[in-house]
Amino acid sequence: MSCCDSAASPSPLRVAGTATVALAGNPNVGKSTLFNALTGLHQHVGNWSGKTVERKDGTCRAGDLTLRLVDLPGTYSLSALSPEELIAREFIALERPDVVISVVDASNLERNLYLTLQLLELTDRVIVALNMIDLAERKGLIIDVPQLERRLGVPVVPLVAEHREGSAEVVEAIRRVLRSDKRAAPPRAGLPVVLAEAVGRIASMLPERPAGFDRDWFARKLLEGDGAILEVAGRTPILGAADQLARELRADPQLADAEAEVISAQYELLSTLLTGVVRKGTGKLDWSDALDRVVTHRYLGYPILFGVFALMFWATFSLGAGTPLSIALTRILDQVGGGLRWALVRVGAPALLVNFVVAGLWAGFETVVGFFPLIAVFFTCFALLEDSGYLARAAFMVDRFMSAIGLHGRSFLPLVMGFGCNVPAVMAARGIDNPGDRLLTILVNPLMLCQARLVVFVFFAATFFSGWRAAAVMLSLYGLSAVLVVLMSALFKRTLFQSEPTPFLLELPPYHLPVWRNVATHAWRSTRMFIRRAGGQITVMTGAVWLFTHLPLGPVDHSFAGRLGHLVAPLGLTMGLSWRLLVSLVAGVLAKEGVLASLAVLYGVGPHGLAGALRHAVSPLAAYTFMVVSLVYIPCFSTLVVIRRETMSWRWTAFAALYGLILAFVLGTGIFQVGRLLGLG
Amino acid sequence: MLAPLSHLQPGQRGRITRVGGASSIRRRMLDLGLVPGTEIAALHAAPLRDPVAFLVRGYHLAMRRRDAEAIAVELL
Repeated sequence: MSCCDSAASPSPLRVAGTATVALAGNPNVGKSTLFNALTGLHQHVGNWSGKTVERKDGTCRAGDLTLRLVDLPGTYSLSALSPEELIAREFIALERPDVVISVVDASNLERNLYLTLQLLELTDRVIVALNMIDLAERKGLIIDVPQLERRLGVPVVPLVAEHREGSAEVVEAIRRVLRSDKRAAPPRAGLPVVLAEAVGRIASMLPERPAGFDRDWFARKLLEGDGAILEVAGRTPILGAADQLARELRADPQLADAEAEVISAQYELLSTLLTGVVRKGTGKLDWSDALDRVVTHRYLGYPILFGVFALMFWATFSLGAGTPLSIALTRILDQVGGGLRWALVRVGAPALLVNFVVAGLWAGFETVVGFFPLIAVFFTCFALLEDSGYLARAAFMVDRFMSAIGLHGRSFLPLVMGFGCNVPAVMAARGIDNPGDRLLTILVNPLMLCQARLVVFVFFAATFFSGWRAAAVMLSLYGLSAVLVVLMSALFKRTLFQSEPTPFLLELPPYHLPVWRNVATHAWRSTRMFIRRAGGQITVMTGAVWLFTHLPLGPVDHSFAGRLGHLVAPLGLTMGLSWRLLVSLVAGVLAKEGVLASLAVLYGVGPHGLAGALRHAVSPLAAYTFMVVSLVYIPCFSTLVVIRRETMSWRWTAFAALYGLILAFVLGTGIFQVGRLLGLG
Repeated sequence: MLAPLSHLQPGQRGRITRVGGASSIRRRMLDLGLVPGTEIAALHAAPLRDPVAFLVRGYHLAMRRRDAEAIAVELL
């Protein structure tokens, strides 16, 4: 259903048939809600080609008309500051959709219509969807819709997308725009005379559609010094002369600040347009401000934050992982696995194949299904927090800490979530706008001590240390995890992501009572995406590692994994780790809690004999070193698969695995050697 | 009286006279409606005093003090 991948071509007006409709708007204006209301389940989620930005396509049938909808990324502007803005701008300017729906927040018209004005510069086939009209009314704003329609020269449709009010009117407006080819001239911001003249001079040197863009628009962007447009002009010889002229004009002190002048002119135009259109009646949104005073209070703010996150954590890891539902699910899957084994034996399949299918592939599938409740609950909580407006406040309050390590407030939730499970945590990093910060948050996430590793550490701590020592060991591991996140993000920020400073500009939307349907839709999408995109890979990888540890047949230390263990044994020497411990780490890549099961196999004991066997064979110092090494050495497969999905890059995925290995070796060697010097070994 | 926006105390209002700072930051602030002539009010700070929430063009925008320093306002 990816409808708009074909090359750009200005499409003729159509009434029956197919039309492409793009949705554009600021973040948090209900753009996706309208998209969902229009498309229902007929949608497809992917990525913009070569970018990590999510792309949503969908279809909507309205009588004899089929609408292909494209949900553009949420942006405040169409400047070239972020990949999202570039995607939105190039889609509208170059692929020229038949209609662009500009979704605006009716309670915050001025800033929202700023984007509409920018859209109107690129196309006159715009519909303004005046969303959240109910919120505007509650705020006491009275909007004269017919008047706004006349002034903008395009249809304006008031609606409440989250209650599915107004969708039919939007479709009707789309029909109107498709049917008529005569449109009122859109309002244009009056530029200062010098500026307008300069734009005209540059435009006169440009071809009809420079690089596919509108001529006047292109000329103005050249004068503004727009990065992406300068690059286009730089590599297109016929645009060289105009580029040269723009460069000279930009040096003119009178025109040096063209960018600010243009933006000021647009905001000036907006206040003129809205004079008499928006009136202040009675009504206020006092409760939202009052709530803000409590929620972000100097002394209450952090305890509340801690409470909310603790609740979310508890819900995800006890509701999501230990409910009767998930237990029943596991039981059923085990039964099916048993049935599978029986059936395979029955048809005379060789033992190796039977084990591969059941203990390898099926176990991998069970891992994926095991994630299902956890991810579903987590994303339900996430959607609730986002939709209510609290997530923005959380980012606001913790930004001070995050900025100390070079990150934004938005990175906080994904990092904290890593204490639970890195898989949803990496997926949650999607909420961070800045691509560099997002990548950084993803890369350091595996350093957070997740629940799976916790299981292993608790076992080791109880086996090797007693009383307060065990507690101290656990605490030291949590501390190390946090310190490593801080150090590594500071290091990566200094070395890999030395970019221009990005501002922390965070909109705090009014609080809002979440609508269940939207929360459920959001949670379902994320969960489905995980199952669909990561599920297959996790299953296949689990099967592959099973083969690695079981082939060729015979004792474990003759398998590929065992041989690898013997091969890297010298490396383990400096860390005090035996080949058995090293092989268990290889198996732990599959799922970190699997370390214990594979150690039991390697020592040839049952689950109950493992503690004794370990105490006999491993010193407490080596055990502690082992814990540190397994904390950092490599993200588990499920996390790696998700990292690959989210970064769209094998290189960064490999990097995430490699830096962990190196760091683990350095730390392991350091701890073991220093411990020995101190006489602890 | 002119002052950096970061000096505005909660409850105080000002009118933006100049927007400075690195070009990408500046462009972003302008896009969000922080253009010269705009009225802006400080609402409240985060518990550790940074960032600060402002009311501008009818919506709430949080900004770090360091970024707010680049904006000059005339106190109202």
